[in-house]
Amino acid sequence: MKDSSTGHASDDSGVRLWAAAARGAQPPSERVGLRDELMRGFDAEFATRVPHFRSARKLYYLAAGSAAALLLAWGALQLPTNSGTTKTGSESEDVALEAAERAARQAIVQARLEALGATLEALAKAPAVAPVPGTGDHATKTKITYPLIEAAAEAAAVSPSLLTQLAAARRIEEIDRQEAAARYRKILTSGSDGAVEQVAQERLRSLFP
Amino acid sequence: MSPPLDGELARRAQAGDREAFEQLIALYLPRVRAFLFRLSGDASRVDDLAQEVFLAAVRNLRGLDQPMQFGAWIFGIAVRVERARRRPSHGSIDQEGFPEPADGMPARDGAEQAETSQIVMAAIHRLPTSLRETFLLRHVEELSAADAARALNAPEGTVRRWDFEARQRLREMLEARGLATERHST
Repeated sequence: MKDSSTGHASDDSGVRLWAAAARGAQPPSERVGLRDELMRGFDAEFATRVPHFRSARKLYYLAAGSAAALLLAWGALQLPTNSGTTKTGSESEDVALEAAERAARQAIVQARLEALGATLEALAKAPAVAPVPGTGDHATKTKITYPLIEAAAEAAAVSPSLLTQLAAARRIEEIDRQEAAARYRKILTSGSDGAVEQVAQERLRSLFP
Repeated sequence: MSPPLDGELARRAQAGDREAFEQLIALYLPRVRAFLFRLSGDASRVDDLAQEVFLAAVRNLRGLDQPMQFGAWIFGIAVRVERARRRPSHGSIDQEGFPEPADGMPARDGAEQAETSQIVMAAIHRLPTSLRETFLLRHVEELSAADAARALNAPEGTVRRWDFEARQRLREMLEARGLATERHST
């Protein structure tokens, strides 16, 4: 063991035996494509932080699918300089690229928010695992099957656990607004996903306009 | 773990270096999957949980202020994701835990080793959660007490106490099976 300061771990042959035996318990083979999925997550998170490759930026604009970004880029190329002339060459191209990148980033954030909002509404209407109509039983009414959460989380690009919390709050809004609000506030303090927090904030505002 | 390499890779990944993150996945995904499996005993969700761990890591990577601590940090995320899985609000949960040998667990490198592994994992799964997490982090993943404390978000003294208690309880459970000394080592 690396840390022998406990005075037990290093000199305990039993512990070494148990640890070795525990290492014998191995999970099943890794899902095909899992690493690609993780890299896609990384690409999505860091897409706006690719500073060096213009080809990557162009691909990014295409991926964003934002006509607004392209229009802004074109508009930026036409921006007059302080001297009243039109910028040309790499300087104007940089300005255009930065403007387009900003617009594309906004478009992605907006698209993510819309996807998350739509996902949440769909989950609010999804059947519960064991619905008990009219009982006001929060625990029962908030249960949604894990595969559904999982698929929805993938579609909305958020973690299943965050989406579960969000969906649970959304589903009890009509039963207990205070409880729903408390759950949204808890999500807001988790600080783990900007889009989720923004949606939680919007739901809170809709509960208490 | 090799902190200098991890730390450099984590630092580069924070700056958006794709290759560095790919290397972190190569280094840590197998370990995190194995850890999640041993912690939860739930083979069916290991990949989903691991995916959740690494995507949470990606989202929070920029906020990691000590890249050298990447190992403790990623295991800490794994602990929290696995705890969240056990909460009722996370949805329906399949059978979990490690059964005793009689219930059958696929043998790997010989029946005796597999049986020893089953007995030990069943005992580890009878430990309370915090003791189980501590034992796996400290002795199977070989994290230092300080790193395990970081991963568990608990004071180091508490983690040392949990570690001691975990070993005591395991000794009580495994002595009767003749697994408390080196003579049964594989």
